[in-house]
Amino acid sequence: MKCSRVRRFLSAYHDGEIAGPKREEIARHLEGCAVCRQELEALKAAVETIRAAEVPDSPLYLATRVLAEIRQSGAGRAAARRPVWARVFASAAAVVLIAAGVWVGAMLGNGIAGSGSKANGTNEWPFEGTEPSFAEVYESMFTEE
Amino acid sequence: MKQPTDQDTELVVRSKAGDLAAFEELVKLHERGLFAYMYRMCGNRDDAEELAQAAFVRAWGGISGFRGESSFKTWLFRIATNLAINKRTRTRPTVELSELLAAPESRQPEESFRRKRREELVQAALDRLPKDQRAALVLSVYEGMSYKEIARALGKTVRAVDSLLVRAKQNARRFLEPARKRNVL
Repeated sequence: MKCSRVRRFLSAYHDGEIAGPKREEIARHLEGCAVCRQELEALKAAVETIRAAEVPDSPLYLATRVLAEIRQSGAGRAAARRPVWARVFASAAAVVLIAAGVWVGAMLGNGIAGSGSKANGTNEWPFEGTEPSFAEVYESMFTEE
Repeated sequence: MKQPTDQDTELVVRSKAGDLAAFEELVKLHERGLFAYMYRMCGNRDDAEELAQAAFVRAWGGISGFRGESSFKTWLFRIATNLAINKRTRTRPTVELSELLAAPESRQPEESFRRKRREELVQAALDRLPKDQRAALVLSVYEGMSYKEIARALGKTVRAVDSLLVRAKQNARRFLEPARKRNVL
């Protein structure tokens, strides 16, 4: 694999978005190419520098202020005035939805590889049947170049 | 990013039924992450607070239309992203990296001073990125979202997200290079 191709995909490689044989191919190239390895190290260092910068604590009473604004606008009361049957229906729907979610989760298991969060390695998108993951998109990008 | 929890799912369903207390719980669960995202997007506390509050209020207003095709968090962050991209943030003096690097030594304890300067340098670099690049980078680096999740939050394709991240990282590296050379990062 050429250096230019490897460098184009180093960002996605570093983010864990490229899996399988293509990942191995890039890894093999990196083993033998000091220049690309250096490029990856520089990329990692920049990302780690950004990650290490802290953010101020969230403001106190944000939730209180949000709720106050909702109540003031009347939106909270409007929602609460829904008829009893609507609330009963919504509660029943909640039970069905949670049960369905558990069932879908159990059915999918680990079946969809590479499309979940890199943070915990699990699939978070059981609802996206047709939307491609980056791994799938990467395949087409790789063959185009 | 954390997996959409049963807790979120239950709170969303109750919120859709008009339960404001349930929505308050959702706000408490996500306020820290959303505020941090908005802070990175606009670079100042006042705008970040205002945008985070506005995003939550809009989320409440639109929750009946939330279909659960993504996690509540991703949906909320998409609302916030739109607000942040469309908002003209408060005018504040542009802080150039060179100015930050040339700033006089502080009397603060050294580590505290170095940490604060590091934060300012990183935020100044983020501020210089186009907003879509900044959003993609912040969601990737700080929120740990996958490209697919970022695509959902930004309303873009995963391929577009990949391109945004490539350019964002190249630019951020370039902006931070002077500080790195002077060993202040």
